[in-house]
Amino acid sequence: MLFDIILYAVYGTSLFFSIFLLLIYLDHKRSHKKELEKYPEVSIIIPAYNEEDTIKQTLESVAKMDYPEYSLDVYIVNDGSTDKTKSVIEKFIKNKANFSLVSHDNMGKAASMNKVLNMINTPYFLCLDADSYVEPNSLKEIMTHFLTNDTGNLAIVTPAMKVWSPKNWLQKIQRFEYIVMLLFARLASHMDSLYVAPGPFSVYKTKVIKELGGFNTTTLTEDQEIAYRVQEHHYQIKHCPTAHVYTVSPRTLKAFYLQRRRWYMGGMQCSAQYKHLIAKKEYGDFGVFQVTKTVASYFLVGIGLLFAGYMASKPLYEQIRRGFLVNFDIWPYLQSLQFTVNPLFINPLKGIVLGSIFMIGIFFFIKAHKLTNEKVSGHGYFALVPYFVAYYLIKGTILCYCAIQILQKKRIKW
Amino acid sequence: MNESFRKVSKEKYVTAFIITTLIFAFGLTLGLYMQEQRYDWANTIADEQEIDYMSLQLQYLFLTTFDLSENCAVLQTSLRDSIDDLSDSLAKVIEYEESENIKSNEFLSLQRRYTLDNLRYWILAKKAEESCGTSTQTILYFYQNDCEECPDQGTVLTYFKKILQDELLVFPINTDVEDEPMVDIIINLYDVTEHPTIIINDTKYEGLQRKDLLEEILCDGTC
Repeated sequence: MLFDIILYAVYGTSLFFSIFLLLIYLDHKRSHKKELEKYPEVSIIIPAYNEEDTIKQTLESVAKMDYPEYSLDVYIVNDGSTDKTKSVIEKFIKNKANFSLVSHDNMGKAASMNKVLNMINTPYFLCLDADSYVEPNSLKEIMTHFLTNDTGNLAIVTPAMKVWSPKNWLQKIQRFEYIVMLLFARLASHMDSLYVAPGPFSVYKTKVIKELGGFNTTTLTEDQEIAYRVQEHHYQIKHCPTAHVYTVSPRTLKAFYLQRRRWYMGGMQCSAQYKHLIAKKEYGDFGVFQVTKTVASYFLVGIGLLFAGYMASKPLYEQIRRGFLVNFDIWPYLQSLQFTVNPLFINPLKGIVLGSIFMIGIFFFIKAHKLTNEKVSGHGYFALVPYFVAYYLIKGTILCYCAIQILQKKRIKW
Repeated sequence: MNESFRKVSKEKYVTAFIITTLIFAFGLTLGLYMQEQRYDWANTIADEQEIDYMSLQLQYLFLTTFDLSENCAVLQTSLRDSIDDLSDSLAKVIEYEESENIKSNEFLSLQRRYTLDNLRYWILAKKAEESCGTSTQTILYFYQNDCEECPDQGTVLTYFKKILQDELLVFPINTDVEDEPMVDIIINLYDVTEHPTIIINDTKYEGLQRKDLLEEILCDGTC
C-alpha cells in the first residue's frame, strides 16, 4: 500500500511538472529579430588547460566571427598547461592585435576568468571554453538579444549549445539531450528561471559580475553558481536561441561519467548553497518552480530509480527462482506461450498517467528538434533507442551515486 | 535591484494542478468502470459455467444410471474444458486483483465462488474417475495468500499441467476464503495444517513438493 502511494506520488509530481512546462510552452512567444545598430565592446575570455587538440579550431572560429575587430578583445588564458597549448596559442595570435595571451601557473578556470575580469573595462564579456566553437554570427545574435531585452536588469544572455559533429553513439545520444535542453532553456528564459550560464559563450554584463564578486573559485560548476547568484540578486538571465555554439561532448563512458559527476555534484552544491531560495515567492517562478523542481528532481530520480530497479529486478528474480524449481526446463512454457492482451487486465490509471507523461515528452522532443532546425534522423535513428530506453536511467544512476558521495562528504576536483 | 520582472505563474500552477487531478480522476474512474466490467465478464462466464456444470452433472447421472461407460470420453472432455474455462476466467480476475491489491466485496465473493467451483469440479472429477476408470490424475492444492512457498508450488504444478495437459487436473483451494463451511469441511477431511499441501490420489503431501518427487508420482519419472 505504501509502495503504491509513493509510486503514485512520484507519477503525480512528474505529471504536474510536465503539464506545467507544457502550459509554459504554449504560452511562450518567439521574439522578433532585430538588427544590431551598434556594436558594444566585448571581451572574450578563453581559459585553456591542456587543450592543444582543440584550441586552434576554437580560436579560428573566434577570428571568423562577424563582429568588428575594434569592439572585440580576446584574452586567451593558458592555465598552466603541460602540453603544447601555449605554443599553439602563441603561433595563432601572432599579428592579431586584439588577441592577447595571459599565462600563469594552473589556478583553475574560475580563478583564470576572475584574473582577466579584473583586467578588462569593456561593458560586456563572455567566456568560451577551449573545446567549443562558435558560428560567425553568434556574437552578433547574442548582443542583439542583449540590447533588445535589457530593461536594466539583464545580466547574462546564454547561447544555444549544440554537440559538435557527433561521431559515436554516446555523442549522438548527447546530441538529442542537448537539443531537448535547448527547448527547456527557452522555457526557463521565458519564466526568468535560467539556472545555468553555460561555460561556452554566455555573455555577461561586466559591471554586474564585478559587483557580485566575480566567479566562485571553490564550486565545481562556476557557470551554475554565477547564475544562481545573479538570480539571487534579482538580475535577469535570458536565452538566445539563435546564437549557436558547438561543444565537443565526451566520447567515452568514463569521460561522460566524469563530466556528469562534476555537473551533478556542482548542481547539488548550488542547491545546498542557495536553499534559501526554495519556494520563495519573491524570486518568482525561479524560486517557486525552478529551484524547487531541481531539488525535488533529486528525490524523484532517486525514488524513481529505486522503484524501477525493484520493479525490473523482482520479476527477473522470480523468473530465475521459477527456473530453478523446474530445472530450467522452459520448453513446456514456450510451447504454450500466448500473446493475448485483454484490455480488462490493464491498469488504466497507470496507463493514462504514464502515457500522458510520455506523450508530453515526445511532444517536447519533436518540438525541440523543429525549433533548433535539427532533424531527429540527423545522425541516424540508432541512438534513439538507447536515448529513450537507457540514457535517463544511466544519468539517474550517476546522479544518485553523486548524492551518496555528497552525503559521505567526498570531495572531487574540477 | 528592480524586482518588477519577477512573476509567479499562479494561474499555470493552478491549471496544471487541475489537469493533473482530472487525469488522475479519469484514470481512477476508468479503473472502477473496468473493475465492474471485469466482474461482469467473470460473472457472465461463471453463469455459462453453471450451465456447463449442470450439463456435466446430467451427463454423469445419465452414464451411471444407464451404465453407458463407453460414453465416458465425452464426459471427460466436457469436464476438462470446463475446468480450463474456469482457470481462464475467474482465476485470471483473482490473480489480477491480487496483484493490484484490490480487496472489494465483489472480489471476496468471486474468490469464494472460484473455490467452490474448484471443489465441485473436483468432486465430479473423482466420481467420474470412479465410474469411468480414466487415467486422468487429480491434484487438490491447498494454498494461502501469505504463504511463502505457495507461489513456488504453483510454479511446479503449472509446469506439470503444461506437460501432462489433459492428463492432469489441478484444483487450487485458497484456505483464506472466509465464511465458507465447505472449505472448512475439506480442510478437516484431509487435516490440512500447513501450506502448501497437495492431495494426489487421496495421499497428502505437506510442504513444497519439488519437480523430481512429483515426476515420480505423476508419471513414474518419465515426464
